[in-house]
Amino acid sequence: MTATAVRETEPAQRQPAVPAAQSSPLARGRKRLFWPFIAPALVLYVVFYILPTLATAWISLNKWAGAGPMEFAGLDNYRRLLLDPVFQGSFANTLTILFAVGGATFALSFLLTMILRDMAGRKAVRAIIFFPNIISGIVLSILWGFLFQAEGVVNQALRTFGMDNPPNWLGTENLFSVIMIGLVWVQTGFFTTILMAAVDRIPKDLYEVCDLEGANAWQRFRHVTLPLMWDVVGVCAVLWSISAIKIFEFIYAFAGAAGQLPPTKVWNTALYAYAEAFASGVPKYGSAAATGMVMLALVGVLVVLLRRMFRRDTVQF
Amino acid sequence: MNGFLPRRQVLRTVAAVTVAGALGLGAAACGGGSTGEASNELVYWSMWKAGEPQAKVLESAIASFTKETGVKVKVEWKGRDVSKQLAPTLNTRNVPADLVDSADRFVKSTFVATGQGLDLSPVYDMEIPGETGKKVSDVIDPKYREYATSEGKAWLVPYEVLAEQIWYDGNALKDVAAAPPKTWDDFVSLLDSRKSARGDGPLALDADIADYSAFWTYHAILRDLGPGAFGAAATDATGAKFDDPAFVTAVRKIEQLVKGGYFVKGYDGSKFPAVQQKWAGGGADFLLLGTFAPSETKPSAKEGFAYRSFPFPEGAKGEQTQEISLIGFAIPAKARNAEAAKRFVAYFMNKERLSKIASETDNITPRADIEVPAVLADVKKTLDTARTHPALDGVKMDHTDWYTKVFQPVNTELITGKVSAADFVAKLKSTSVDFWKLNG
Repeated sequence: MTATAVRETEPAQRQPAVPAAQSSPLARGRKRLFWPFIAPALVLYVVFYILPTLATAWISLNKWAGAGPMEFAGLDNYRRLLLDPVFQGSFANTLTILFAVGGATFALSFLLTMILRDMAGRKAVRAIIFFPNIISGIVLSILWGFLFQAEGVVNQALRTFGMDNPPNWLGTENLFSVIMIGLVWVQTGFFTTILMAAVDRIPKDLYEVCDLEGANAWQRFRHVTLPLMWDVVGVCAVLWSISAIKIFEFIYAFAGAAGQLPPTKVWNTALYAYAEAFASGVPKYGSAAATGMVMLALVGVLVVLLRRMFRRDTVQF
Repeated sequence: MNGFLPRRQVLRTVAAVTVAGALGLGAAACGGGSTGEASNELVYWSMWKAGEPQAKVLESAIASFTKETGVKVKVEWKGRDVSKQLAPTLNTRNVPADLVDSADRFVKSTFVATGQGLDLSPVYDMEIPGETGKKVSDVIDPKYREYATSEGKAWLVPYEVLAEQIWYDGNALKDVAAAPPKTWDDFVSLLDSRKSARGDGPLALDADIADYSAFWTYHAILRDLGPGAFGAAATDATGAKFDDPAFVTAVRKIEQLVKGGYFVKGYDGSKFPAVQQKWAGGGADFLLLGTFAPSETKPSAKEGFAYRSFPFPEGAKGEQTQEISLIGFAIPAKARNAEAAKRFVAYFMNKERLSKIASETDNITPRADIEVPAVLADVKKTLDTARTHPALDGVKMDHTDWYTKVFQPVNTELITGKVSAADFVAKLKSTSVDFWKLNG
């Protein structure tokens, strides 16, 4: 009897809250505006992102030459990817770019941020280091190729300084390292600019306190700069992860030529997907789509991990 | 009245707009089905870019074709990726091109392997406008037609023939012009004398272009084992064909060139086209390349450079053969204006029109009665006498994946001196067996 009484009284207690919310003209207005505002973006997002992604997922389960009949293959494309040594190498290169190039880019960006913080003419320097970002990656990579070739500017300069046998930069043994150096060079300006914007927000008096307390440069960075720009670093890490996995044109234009692909040793997963679809004779869209799905999964995992890693209470200042 | 639409009405509006949009997109994607009637227009997607010499020749033929027949040709100069752009549309009801031109391997992989190409045999039976009584098949050398035919169906009508030879400056090397090397030993002794004369390797090679490196290796293999041997080894799932002692003997010739320092300094660390430009400027003596070599290197050629060439020297087989590839027309199976496209192909095969491919673009045509440009006279001599077979032994055309993933990486190691001939063959065999296990 008691239990029944409770059940009967519960709705009675909650009821007033709902009509109260509904009765607010503002809340009602908001509710009515919700779909008209969301729908256009949602439709576009579904048509141009969700559906193509689902289509790619479906294609990845098929053997398909892009034309002609599609043959259901189940997970065979994924199995072949796992066993293909060229894909394994491409995947390893993707991870190397992600972590090694990413690590070097961020280390350099932090360093430049610290150096530029108090430097005279910092705006001019910031514009200069941002410069590689406003030029097409294709142009940069072609230029990079001519700088490093056997009789290029770099080797001529090294010979001037007395090095008779400069390294064979574009030889297969060094090619990937040169690509990674190029990527660091291209990316550093972009991340330095974002990080500097974050540093600019930090009140100067905090640094004055550091000076009064006798903190050195590392302590200033560790206890003031880094904590106060942590959320921006997190966003940068996510941005880098997504763009690192998609890097394509720099490698393609730098190491390939005359319409031919670069050597398989320097392929990353993006190049592998391209090669499967467009450079393997009879196109293998299934395999290319499976590579795309692997890249999507990698991006997804990394973004979730990074969001967790950088999850901290935002410091208010 | 607060000015907002009722919620249900809003949802209905959104749903209606979405459905209408989706239907609109669908209709756009599926619209324009084939009429199949004789039409007075056609859409032509070309592998050339506007302004290229071939584009200019084709453009003038299109203009006169329209004038004479009333058929309007809407041409789009797509560039070399034309097949890649067309491929995704071939499965739809709305194939956007009625006529395409491209290199043989792209046409074969896009049209033949997918069954989306029209059998062009009827084109060969068409009379050539302006040449009464002459059919297309009467003027195109039968070996080219045979090359571009699979399972009885012609998949390409060629208008340009490419061939690989070893190029040199006839003015600088008059002795070579008088008596080009015929055998491998002749060739190596010539290289020796040139190497000591210039103090550097006389062979030019842009080794960053994997095909150019492959040219050396597969030529050596075919000259020793005969045409078809490289292709047979490539597709041998057991790898047993690589065990033939003749195979490694042939590859040792390339090892000899690398270890002997016969390639010019920097060949393995340059960016194309640096080495071929260096060659044209007199920085090296010999360049193994297709018939496009003169037109590609002319701007950097030193004054008085006379383009001469000889075929890759004979090997153990004792037979001179010539590698070729073709550029030509293809028609998609679902082309809406296929008849008009066929008419244009036959029209372009007319001697007067096709001869401009030779005279204005410095290329060889598939018509024996069209004079070849002076710079390609040596190539023509070989073509007239030697047995021809597909470039790269057809491997790049028919087994591109093997060629890219298995052969190219190991071949680059061989050409740049990272592996010996024996290691090359062993590695090629093991990676090839693994490849066919996975892809066979």
